[in-house]
Order: sequence, then C-alpha cells, then structure tokens
Amino acid sequence: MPRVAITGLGSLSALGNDVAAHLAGLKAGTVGIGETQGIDVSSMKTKISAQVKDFVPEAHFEPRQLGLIDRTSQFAVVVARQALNDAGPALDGVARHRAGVVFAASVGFHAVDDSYHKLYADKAPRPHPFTVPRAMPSAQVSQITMDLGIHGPAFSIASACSSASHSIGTAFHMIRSGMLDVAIAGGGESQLTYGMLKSWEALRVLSPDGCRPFSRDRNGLVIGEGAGAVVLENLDRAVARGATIHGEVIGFGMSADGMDITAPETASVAASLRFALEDAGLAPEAVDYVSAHGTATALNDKTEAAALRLVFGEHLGKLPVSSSKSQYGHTMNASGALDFVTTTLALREGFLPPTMGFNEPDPDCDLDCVPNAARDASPAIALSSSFAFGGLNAVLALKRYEG
Amino acid sequence: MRTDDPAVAEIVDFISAEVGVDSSLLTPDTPVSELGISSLDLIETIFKLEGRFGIEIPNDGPLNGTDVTVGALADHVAALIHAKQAGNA
Repeated sequence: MPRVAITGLGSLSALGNDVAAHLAGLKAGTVGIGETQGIDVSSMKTKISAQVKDFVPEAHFEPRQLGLIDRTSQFAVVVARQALNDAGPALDGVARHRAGVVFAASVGFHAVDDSYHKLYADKAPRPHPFTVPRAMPSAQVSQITMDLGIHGPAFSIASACSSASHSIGTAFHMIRSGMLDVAIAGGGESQLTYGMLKSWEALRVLSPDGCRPFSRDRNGLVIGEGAGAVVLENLDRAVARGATIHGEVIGFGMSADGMDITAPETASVAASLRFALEDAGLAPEAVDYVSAHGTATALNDKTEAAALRLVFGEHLGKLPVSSSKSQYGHTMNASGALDFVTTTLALREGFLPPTMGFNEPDPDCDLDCVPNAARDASPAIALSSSFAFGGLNAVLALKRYEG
Repeated sequence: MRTDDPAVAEIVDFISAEVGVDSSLLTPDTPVSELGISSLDLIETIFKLEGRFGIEIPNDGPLNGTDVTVGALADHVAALIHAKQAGNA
C-alpha cells in the first residue's frame, strides 16, 4: 500500500493566524481563552471563549466574495490556502480526478444568526438572499475547490466534533487505496454567535472560568473557533517532487458508540483507539504521545482516561497524553484538524504540547497530561483523538518522517 | 423605460452603483443578463432595491424571466414605489 505523507499544514485559532504562531503558542503554553468580544454576553454565565483574533476578512477576500462566504468558510479557505502554499506545487501535473478535498461539514452559523435575527427581532420582510449559500454545511469545501481550482472528489463529512478527523482519515484512505495522489483535508468552525453560545450554555457543558482538562476541578469546555488544514500526498510522489515532508499518516480507526447522543462510552472509545493501532500495524507500546480529545467536561475526560487505560494498560504510565483544547478551546468541527496539526508539529519539532490549566490530579484521570508547560521529547509515533457527541469516534495515527 | 420619471433615474443610478456598470450603458433595452453580472448579483441587487425603496418585489412578478431588460426592471420597481406612495397618501 502507498504510504501517505503530510506535505502541507495550515492553522487559524486562538493561538494565532498561521502555523508558525500555532507552534510558538503550543511551545510557550499560551492560553488563547479570554472574554468574548463582539457578542453581547451580559446575559450569559459563561463570558469566555477562544476567539480568533485580528482576522481581517477583507485581507483575504474580495468584497464580492465576502457577501457569499460565512466566517466558518472564510477560516477554512484561508487554512487550505496556507496548507497548499506550504506544500509547494503539489497539484502540478496531477490529473484532475486524482486531487480531492475532504472537509468538515459546518453550518454557517453567523449567516443563520444574522438572518434569523433580522426576521424575528427586526421583523425584516425577508432574510438576506445569500443566507442559504452562506449557511449550507458543504459551503466550506465548495469554497475551497473554487479558490484552489480543484476539480476531483470533494465532499463534506459531518460527525460533530470528529468531523475534521473523519475528513483527514477519509482523505488518508483515499490516497492509501490509490484513488488520489493529493488531498487537502481539515475543517473550519465558528459557532461564536449569540444564538449558539446561548444554546451551548443551555446544554450545561460550558465552563464559566477556564478549560482544565484532566484536572480534578475541571468544570466544562470552552468554545473556540478556527480551522486546520493538511495536504496529504502519496509519499513516493512527494519524495519525487522534492517536497518537505512534515510526517506520515499511518493509521485511522473509527467506531460508533451506538448508545447516547451526548455521553461517551468507554469500550467504544477504546475500540477506536485499538482500530487505529491495528490499521497502523502498531503495538500499544509503540505509541509515544496521544493528543487527547480532552474537552474538560467531567464525563469526557474520565471516559477517555478509562479507555486509554483499557488500550495501553501499564504503558499508560510512560505515555504522555495532553489536551490542546486547554490552549485554543474546543473548536468543534475544526478540532480534529487543529489537533492533527498540533500532533504533526510535536513529532516534527520534538516536543510535547502541554495541558494548561491543570490544578490538581484526578484519580479518575490518572495520566501524565504534560501539565502546564510544554516538554522537550522526541516522540516518533502519536495518536490524535476525536470523540464526538453522538458517539462518533475517530483516531488518527501519525509517524515522524524518517525517510 | 419612463425616463421622465425621477424615480426611474434614481433606480438606474442605484443599479449602476450596485453592479458597477456605468449608468450610460444601462439603456432600456439592455438585457440584465448582459451586464456582466451573475444571477446571484441580480438577486442581491433586487434585495437591495427592496431595502432602499421599502418595497417588496414579488418572486412571481415580471422580473422572474431570464430575459429581463434594464427598462423592465426599472419600470417595475418604479411602479412598486408609486403604488407604495399612493397607498401611504
């Protein structure tokens, strides 16, 4: 089977607006969480989020484009451009049906929120006519194909907070199976609207004061926004064209709990981890680092820790597991892509991203979570995990590139 | 196109600014489809005309075809404006 190289990265999050800023933030232990700006949060108990800062849409899009593209898709297009730019001439000489795009399906919530507000509150006779093209969940992948001139297989994947991981995993499979030479995959998301913040608060999963994964005093997630993208490529082709190879994708595991629309399930989470190892041909002891889903809800972290214990047993004592959501929040449909970028950088640069906000150990989360500071290390094999609402799990296995 | 109607002149100027076409090119017989704008541009222009003049342009009215001219568009909008003014009087 063809090996699959990671030849391009793109990121946009509360840590910064490109991969260099992302890497610097990870290493420095920056926490991009703060009081939410631009939305009236006075009626909300949770006033914090992990917002993208200093993003100027006009710097990236023509005025005519902006009316048709939601903030979510703007993020997705910008990171896809970054990733392709990073990859160099990856599309040159590729047959049009052998280059594809797979991205998360994310509703354009800003379009929905703006238009419905005008209808319901302002009693406008009709919403903006572009509400539908801005809101439709496939908009981000369509906008990317239009922007980058890609004409092969392209579609969106919806699996809540696993959407981007499923997208990257699917693109990986498409290259490994020989169907594609190159794929751009990832996800973008901005749910930072008045309506969605109120909706998340109503679900009682938001922390009012910070994201503290695996810490005994954790009390909920912090919503973030952003996007991540990767260029995946047939490794032989990438080597032949002299591309810089950031790492390899070597396995992908999926499972469905089939139990509950929000609560995770230990055995099923463990199964997705095992399937990723099996797909990659790895023994559990070969894994050097796990980028956790680590949302900082009481239940997620406890379930995830128990699943890791089931899969790794004794090895878990030597296996660092951290959650970067403590730094850039829970970016929902983008989270799998941002975590994948994080994990790729950890392998390439030789460090372990921290779990910030860690205050006290929890016996239910008996992990080395790399508390409060990044650590020098030389991981060769890592997993990047996403465990979504509705029990849709996706785990990617990555390997440092060593020729 | 009733060029003696000041509302028509205002409408033509508004369309000209919206679609970025010099108003001298907006003759009554010019098909809207030849203004170099997409169907979405036309839809957005209609939406903005509604907001600008406080009218509602019906989906099933004379603008529903594919061969709408600038004259038909301007006359239709002007008629809706006059009807609204008459209704308010």
